[in-house]
Amino acid sequence: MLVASCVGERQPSSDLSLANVPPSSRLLQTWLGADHTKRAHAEVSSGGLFGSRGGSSCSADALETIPSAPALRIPNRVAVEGRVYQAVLAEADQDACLVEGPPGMTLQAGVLRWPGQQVSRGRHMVRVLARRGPQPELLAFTLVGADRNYLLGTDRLGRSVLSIVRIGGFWAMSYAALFTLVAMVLGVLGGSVAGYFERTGRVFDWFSNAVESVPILVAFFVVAVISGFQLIWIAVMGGVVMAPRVAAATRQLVAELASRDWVEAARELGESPFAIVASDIVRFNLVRQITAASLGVFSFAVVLEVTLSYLRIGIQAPDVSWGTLLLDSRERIPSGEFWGFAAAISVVLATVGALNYLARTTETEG
Amino acid sequence: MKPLLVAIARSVAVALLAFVMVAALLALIPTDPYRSSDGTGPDARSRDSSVGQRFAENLATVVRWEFGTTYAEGAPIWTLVGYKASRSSWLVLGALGIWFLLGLPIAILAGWSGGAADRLAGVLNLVSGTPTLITALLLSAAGLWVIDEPVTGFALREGGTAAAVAYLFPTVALALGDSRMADFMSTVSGRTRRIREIRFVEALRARKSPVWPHLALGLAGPVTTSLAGNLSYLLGGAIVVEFVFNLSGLAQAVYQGIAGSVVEVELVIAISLVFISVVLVGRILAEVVAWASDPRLRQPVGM
Repeated sequence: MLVASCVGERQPSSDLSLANVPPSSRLLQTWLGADHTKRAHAEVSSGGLFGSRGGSSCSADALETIPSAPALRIPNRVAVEGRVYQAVLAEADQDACLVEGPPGMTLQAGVLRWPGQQVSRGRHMVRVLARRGPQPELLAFTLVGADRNYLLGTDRLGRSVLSIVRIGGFWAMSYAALFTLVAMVLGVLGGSVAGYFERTGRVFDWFSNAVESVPILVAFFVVAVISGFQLIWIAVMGGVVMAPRVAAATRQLVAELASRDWVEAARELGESPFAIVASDIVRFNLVRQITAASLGVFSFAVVLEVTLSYLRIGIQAPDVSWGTLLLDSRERIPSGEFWGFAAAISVVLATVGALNYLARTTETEG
Repeated sequence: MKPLLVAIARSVAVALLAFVMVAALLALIPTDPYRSSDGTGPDARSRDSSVGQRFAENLATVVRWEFGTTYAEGAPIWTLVGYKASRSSWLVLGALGIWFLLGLPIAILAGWSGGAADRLAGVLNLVSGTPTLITALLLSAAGLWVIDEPVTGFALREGGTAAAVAYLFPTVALALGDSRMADFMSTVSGRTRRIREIRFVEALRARKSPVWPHLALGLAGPVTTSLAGNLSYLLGGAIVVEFVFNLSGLAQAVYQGIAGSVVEVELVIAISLVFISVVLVGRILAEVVAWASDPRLRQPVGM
């Protein structure tokens, strides 16, 4: 598969040991709720728990079922190799001790510290016993050791979500550009002819209404199968399927202008129909509308690429696109790991919103 | 009556043309080697059949009305389509219900009096501009907070809140997605504004006579025409919604028929027929309502 092999070459590298790393930014961790720390009341059955590393009498099951503790100051959940990991606990937890942590980690005066040379890849359970009130509390969180900062985290194959967003954006834009080019060229040509010549227009109306009767996504499914799921052909054939809809809109505009006096005058002066349509009508009067329509079609094409990839008939996993990122990350929402989902949703919404806004502004304000 | 019959005949002809186009498009799909090799496909659909032969076979399937059974499930195609259609219909009807119960009153108020209703319509338009896929995914994820699990078709069997959410969320996603509701609302509010500015309506308002019969008659045509025009988009959106929420409906069947491991051409033809028929019925209904509500259309030609 041509496109798939191209996509494969541009894939971000995958490393399963770095799967599902949360975003490195603490702010994003907080926003996405990825910073939760589990808390349990420790049963102090012996007096030697504080200051020791002997473990706690809390069971692992209890730790899993206890909800997060929003009142606590939460340490960052990502440590990067070669950089010191440091987290300051909340003031109320200054008098705490480390029950369990990765080799080399220390907790002194409420500061959790892990020297950069000792940061190792993988997941490390950190448990801190805090003397809070009459009942001591056990705080537990998973610290991920990564080889570098992952601003938007990683996916289930350990690939940077930021890289997937960037590469997915490249493919979405390339697909949309080709799709728009084909749809607009064919649509504007067909619509102009149908709008200028009345008889052709009547025939075209039948064709256009028939195309409108078929759900467009069904047509794109068939196109995807025919093209062997190659994105480049899906874009070209998708543009052909979309062209009648563009042509219908163009036809209306051209037909309206074709009945004006100055068009009649041009005819009387002996201008050819081609010159009247191409120069007088389209070039001087419809550029703004065509530009706005192109932006609208471009936005539609971006959504279509994401939708087809999400439905597994566009770009397919393990190749990357915004659609595959959505499909892949959606499954991890129940476990609270939805940074990939949030990134994909945000980037699609921002792109489509911006394109639609641009299209509307172009159309209304010129 | 004649213009109405002509319009209906034109709608039927357009539907036939649409079907021929679908048959031609499906003929471009290469013959499925699985079905050819094990003999479950129709005899004429041999491994080496040409595009023309496949097109003729697609048309013949409908003319002879011999759809057979599905390869994957072995069920008679029309039995399967009937079952799936019953599950999909609530989704589309629910979305239309939301347009009527929520979109229509707000759009009428926005067109008639502006103000807060206009601003509310603006907000709905903005929300409705979100792609169906994104709306469906967000609502599916939002189900985590409501029923502690992603909203899927499986929740329908559980009853209670889970089933209510599993019914409501996909319907809302379909109703709000892809600007179709915004398109419908802008048609209604624009038409309402024009009716309000008509002289005799202004005179009625000045006399404090009821204007709603005129408003209802004036809106009936454009509302049904807009609904009919948006039906094919709703059916297309249902494919995405059913996939996201894992609902086993007509749209998911067409997806399986095309993108599944075995291409089920007869199934896709049957479902396309259903889709085109639904759009056709919508168009005929729009023509009838427009004819009944607009006296100008009932005038003999030339008067």
